[in-house]
Amino acid sequence: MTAGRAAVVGAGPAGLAAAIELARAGVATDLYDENPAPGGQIYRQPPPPLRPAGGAPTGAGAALLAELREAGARVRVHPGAVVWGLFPPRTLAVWEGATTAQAATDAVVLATGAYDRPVPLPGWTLPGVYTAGASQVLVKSQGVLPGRRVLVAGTGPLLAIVAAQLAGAGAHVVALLEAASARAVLAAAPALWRQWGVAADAWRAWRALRRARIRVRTGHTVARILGEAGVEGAVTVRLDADWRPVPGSETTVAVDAVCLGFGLVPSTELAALAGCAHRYAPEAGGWVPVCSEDGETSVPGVYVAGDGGGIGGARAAVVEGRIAGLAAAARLGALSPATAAARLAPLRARRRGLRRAAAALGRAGRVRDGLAALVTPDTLVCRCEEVTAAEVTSVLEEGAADLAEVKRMTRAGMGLCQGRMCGPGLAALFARRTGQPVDGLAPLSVRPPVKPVPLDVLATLP
Amino acid sequence: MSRVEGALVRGARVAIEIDGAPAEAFLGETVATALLAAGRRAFRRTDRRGAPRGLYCAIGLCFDCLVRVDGRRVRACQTPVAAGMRVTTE
Repeated sequence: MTAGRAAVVGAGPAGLAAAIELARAGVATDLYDENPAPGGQIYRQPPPPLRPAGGAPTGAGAALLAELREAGARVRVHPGAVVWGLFPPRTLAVWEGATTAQAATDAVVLATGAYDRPVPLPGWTLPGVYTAGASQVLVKSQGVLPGRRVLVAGTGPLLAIVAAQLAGAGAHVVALLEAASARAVLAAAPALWRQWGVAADAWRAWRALRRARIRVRTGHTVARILGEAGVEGAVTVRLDADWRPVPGSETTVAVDAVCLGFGLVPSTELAALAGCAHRYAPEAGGWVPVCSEDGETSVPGVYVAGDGGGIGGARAAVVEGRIAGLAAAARLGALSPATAAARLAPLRARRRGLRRAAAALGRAGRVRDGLAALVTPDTLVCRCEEVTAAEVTSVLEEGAADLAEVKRMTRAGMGLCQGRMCGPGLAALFARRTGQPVDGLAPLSVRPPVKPVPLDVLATLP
Repeated sequence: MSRVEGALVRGARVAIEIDGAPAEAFLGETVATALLAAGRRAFRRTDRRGAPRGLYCAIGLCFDCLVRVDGRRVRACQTPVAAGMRVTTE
C-alpha cells in the first residue's frame, strides 16, 4: 500500500496516538522511547517486573496502550532507545543497547513531551529537592517516598496531583504553596468552559487535595531551601500579584524534601536540530516549533505533536498525535486526501478548543517576573557547571551580548544537561539584567548528541 | 526514604553493594530508588564546589544523580538494579 517508512519519537500520549494512526493506515512505523516501557510521563508504567498492585491499570493511558497492541506488528516499539540526533532531511540517530545507528525515514513525528520548568532558588541543588515530575516517578512507578515531611510548591494543577499522591503514599505533606493568587487561579476557570474533560481533571485533583486534608496556600512560595548535606527545612514567603516576595512574610518550616513544579517546558531539542523554525510562546511554555494545524513543522515531513510542540496537556496530546499520524500517512500516500480530510476535520476542531483552553491556563500559570527577586548573587543558575547568578551578572556587565556569549564566558549551559536545566532561568536573568524581552533572544544552541552517548557506543556508528 | 508498601508488586529481591556495604533492592527498581531506600540522599559531590547532589529530575535530564556502577559513570535514575551490582557514590 505504501513504500514509506515513518518514525515516532516518544511513546507518551501524543506518540502513541501518532503511531496508532500511522499503523492503521498501513505505514510501517518505528516508535522510539527512552523508557523501559511506553506511556510517557503521564501514563508511565513501572519498569518490569515492577507492576501496580490491584490489577491492570484503566483509563485513557491503558486504552491507548491497548490500541497500540491492536495496531499489531506494523508498529515496532523500541523501548530504552535514545534518539540523539535528527539530520536532514529526516534521518534519526538512535542509540539502542551497546550500539548506535542511523535510520532514514519518510516522515517523523516528534512527540518528545516536556519537563518541569527549572526555576533557580537558593538551595535548589540540595539533595532532597525534587521536581514535581520526579516526585511522581518515585511514588507512582518506583514505590519509594521522596521524603517523610514534604513541602510542595510552584504553580499549576500538577501540584495538586503530586501532593495528593504523596499523601496517599504515606508522606506528610506540610503544605501546598501555589504562587498565583486565589484571584488569578479563579480567573483561569472560564477557559475551561466547554472543555469538560480538562475541567473534570482539575476538579478531581482539587477533591483529592481536600480528601488528603492538605493545607493549600495561594500567593505563597519557597523563598529558599535550607540544609547542609541535604534538605532540612525551607523558608516560605508571601508573593504579590507580580510574584515579588513580600518583605516580612517569611516563615521557616522543617521538612526533609521539597517538590518544585513551576509548569512545564517543551522538549524541542530534536526539532531545533532538524532546523525547524521556532517562535517564543510564553503561554505554551517557551520556545516552540512553528507548525501547521496538522503539526507539520517548517521542515517537510517533520511533525510535532503534544507538549513538545507547546504545553497543551494529555488530552490535546492524543488529539495532536492522531492528527500528525493521519497527516503523515496522507503524505506517504497511505491515505487518500479525501479520507484524510474527513478524518482530520473533527480532530482539528477538537484541537482548536483544547489549545485555546491550554493557552488560557498557560497564561494564568505563567511564571511572573517578580519571582526572580528570590535569586541571590550566590544562587546557582547552572547546576551542571555550578555557575552563580553573580557570575552571569558580571559577564553581562562586561558586555556579553547574547546567551551564546554568556555560555562561552561562564560555561553556563555547557554541562551534561545541555542547557535544559539552566536555559529558561538564564534567559530570564539575561532579560531582566539587560532590559531586553525574552522573545527577542536566541535560545541556547542545540548540538548532537542531544543526550550524552558513551564514546564506545558512538564508535559503533556505521 | 522508605519504600511504600502495597502500592506496587515488586520484582525479585536482589543483593547489591553500595559503597562496599551490602544492600537490598528489587528488580524493576532503579539505582536511585535503591539508594533512597537505603537512606542515601546525596549521591555525589560536585567537582567545582564539592557540594552534595542527589536525585533531582528522575527522568534522565539533569545528570545530578551520577554514580558509578561497576566502575562506569551512569545516571542512577535511568539504571535498573541487577543482582551483584556494585554502586559507588562519589
